[in-house]
Amino acid sequence: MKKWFGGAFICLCGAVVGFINGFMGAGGGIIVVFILSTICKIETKKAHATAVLIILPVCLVSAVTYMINQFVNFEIVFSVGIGSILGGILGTFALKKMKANIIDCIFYVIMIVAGIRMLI
Amino acid sequence: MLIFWFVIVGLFSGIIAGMGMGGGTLLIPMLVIFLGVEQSMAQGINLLVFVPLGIIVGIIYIRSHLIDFKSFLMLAIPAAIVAFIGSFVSLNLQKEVLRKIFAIFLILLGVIQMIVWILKKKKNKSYKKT
Repeated sequence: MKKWFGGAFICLCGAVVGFINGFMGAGGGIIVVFILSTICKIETKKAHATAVLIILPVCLVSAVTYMINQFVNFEIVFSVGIGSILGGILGTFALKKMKANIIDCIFYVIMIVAGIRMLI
Repeated sequence: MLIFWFVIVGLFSGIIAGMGMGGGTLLIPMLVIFLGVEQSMAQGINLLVFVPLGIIVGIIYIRSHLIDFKSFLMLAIPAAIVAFIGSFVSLNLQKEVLRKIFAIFLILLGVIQMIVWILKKKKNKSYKKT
């Protein structure tokens, strides 16, 4: 009974992540990492890797919705895409060697600064 | 020249995305603030860009045995079903409002992650001492 409840709760979390990721167009992965490491008790590296795979179908569904409503510029997608695929492969190597270090903290500061800049 | 900057912006966010740390939370503000892309458009671009990136990165992680398939199924299925509702609501909002909500979301995520990071660091330190 308890196990069943836990599973249902995780599915509910998934639904919330899906909504947020579709609404904001990003950020779902970070929340998934949090859910995986706190609720599912998965170790950090596995949590980050699994989060990438979980967010993939979510992005696909949302991207199609945005495309149908013409909120996608393919020229930009192409150039950003080339850069990000190269970066993504570099990132997988970085994760395998990752330690909880100062880079994480710098990234969070950038997020906060960017948020404030977008608010004004 | 503008294309060059789009590639650079993609490269940075790709590294972060590949590490499963949320590349989009970096890509969207960079597109909006520095390259003058409109909010909904930036979100759409991020979502679409992540698809090929996610496939490649996902394959690398599956091969490295870093995927927990049980939690993948439990989270990915409901998330993918609900995703289109979130997108639909978002696209029907005023752009200025959406941008503000996104900004607050970004600040919240940054602050929460920073707190978790600091707590973890403290915990590790006390762990090492004992």
